Amino acid sequence: MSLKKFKINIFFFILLFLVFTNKFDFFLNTYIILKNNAHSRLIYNYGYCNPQAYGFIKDVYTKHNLNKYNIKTSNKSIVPTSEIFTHSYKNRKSSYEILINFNEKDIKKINGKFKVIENKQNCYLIEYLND
Amino acid sequence: MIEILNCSYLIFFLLVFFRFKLSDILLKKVLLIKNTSLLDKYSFNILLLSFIFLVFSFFKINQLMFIIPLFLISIISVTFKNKNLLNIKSSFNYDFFLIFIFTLIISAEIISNPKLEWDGHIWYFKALNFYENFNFFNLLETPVPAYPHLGGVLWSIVWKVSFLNYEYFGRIIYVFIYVVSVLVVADKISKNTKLKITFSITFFFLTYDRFLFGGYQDYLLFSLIIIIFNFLDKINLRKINFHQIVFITLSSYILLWVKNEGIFYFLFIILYLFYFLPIRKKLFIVLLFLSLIFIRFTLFYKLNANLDLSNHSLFSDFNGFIDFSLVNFISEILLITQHIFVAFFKYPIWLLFFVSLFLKKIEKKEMYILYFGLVSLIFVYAAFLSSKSDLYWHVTGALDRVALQIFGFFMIFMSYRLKYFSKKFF
Repeated sequence: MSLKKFKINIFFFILLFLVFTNKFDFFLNTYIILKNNAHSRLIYNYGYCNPQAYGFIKDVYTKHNLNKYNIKTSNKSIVPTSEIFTHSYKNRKSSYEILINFNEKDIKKINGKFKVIENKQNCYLIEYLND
Repeated sequence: MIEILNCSYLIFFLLVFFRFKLSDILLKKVLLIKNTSLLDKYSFNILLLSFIFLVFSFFKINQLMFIIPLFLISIISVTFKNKNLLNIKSSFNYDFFLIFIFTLIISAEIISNPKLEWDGHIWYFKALNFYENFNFFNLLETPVPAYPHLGGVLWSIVWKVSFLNYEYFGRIIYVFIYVVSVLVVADKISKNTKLKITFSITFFFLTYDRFLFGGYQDYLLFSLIIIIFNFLDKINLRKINFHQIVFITLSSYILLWVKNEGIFYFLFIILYLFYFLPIRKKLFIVLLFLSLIFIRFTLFYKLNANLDLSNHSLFSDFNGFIDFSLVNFISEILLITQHIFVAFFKYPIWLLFFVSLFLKKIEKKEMYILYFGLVSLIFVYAAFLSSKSDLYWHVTGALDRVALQIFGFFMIFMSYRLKYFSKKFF
């Protein structure tokens, strides 16, 4: 292969590579991955409290050592379940519940006795008392 | 940095794992040729190993017990047997390199933006079930037990193999299979590396939707259909032998374990095969088809204790025929038609398909696309007209995805069209 043809080939492959990487934001994605760890990217995607409370759920699980429990989550916004963050088929059920995007009025409407264990923004970790 | 390294390791793992050399003998029996391409080997192993994983998913065993020895066998066989990593004559194999690069670039998008989309949450619980070493019969604990689970099994395997415990690494397998299927099509168009890369990038541009890598199973279905169709194309259907019938039937059977629509895609392929077979083989394929369907429904019956098709969210509202209204029916047909057109623009590969039809007449040997076009159209209208949910919601949320899956049937046809055009123009 002549040098000229080789150079054209290299130019062609680089051009295609750049077009492809640009379409898939490869350099931006690599920058995001290198700059932010998985936890902060997950918070960015699912939110600390709104919409799916990834950050809040991870915080209360660590703080209150709840790793062996499956905790029900209720969300006032129309979004998929937040139980994906902590659910395990090996975990036990618990008397706790995580309320996401609940304001004070919504909290008052809840039936049954409970106490608020943790509250940040519009997210609550509550424990039902009457069982 | 560690996540990029983990991603590269997982892609390398998949490249070695799905280059399981011991299956080469089986592949030769199926294709009846001595020299098979690397992409054919990958495609064959994707089907073979997916089927094996499917069978294993019914037993309570740790899949790692199976994966690690298989990986070790693969790596030893590809490294030592011929002192050539991939046993390919050329010193540098572009396909290996291309799969790695394309998968890495697309996977970076998942890792950087790992959000699971709506239905991804449902499929996630299936993957979690297998990640925690439970079997098929524990799927009753998952949100929609009537959905099949093969996608979850594959997701869980790569998640398990990953050094970092995040589910999104498991989704790299969908990218890997998608990339292999696109390269299979590009490889059919031209063996010239430059053209192959150009066409594969074009296909990625025309079929890629980041949203669907958020846990959806549609790319898996789309890619598996392409891979199966590639083998159907390589086999002489008029002289098909029993090995080939069993291979095609079992490969297509995988589809109905990915999504419920797969039952119909499986049926379409079997009917297509049925057309070419002599009477004795026709009987054989009917028996095989019925037994496989019976196994599927028995297993779901055992899981759900309900054999009713309505639980499989297919053709669910038979009562709708009682209060039939012609005006409603016509408006529903129009709504579905409108969204079929929307889907064509969402996945512009369809537009390329129509342009190719306009530029070149369908030849006699290409008539099969009329069959697949017709059955697909009937399927789309029947499935959405019988929808139990609000039709507008259902059509806007799902029809484009069905259109993408169905296009798998036309990709090989497209490859011949583009081969024809590329010969004319280049």
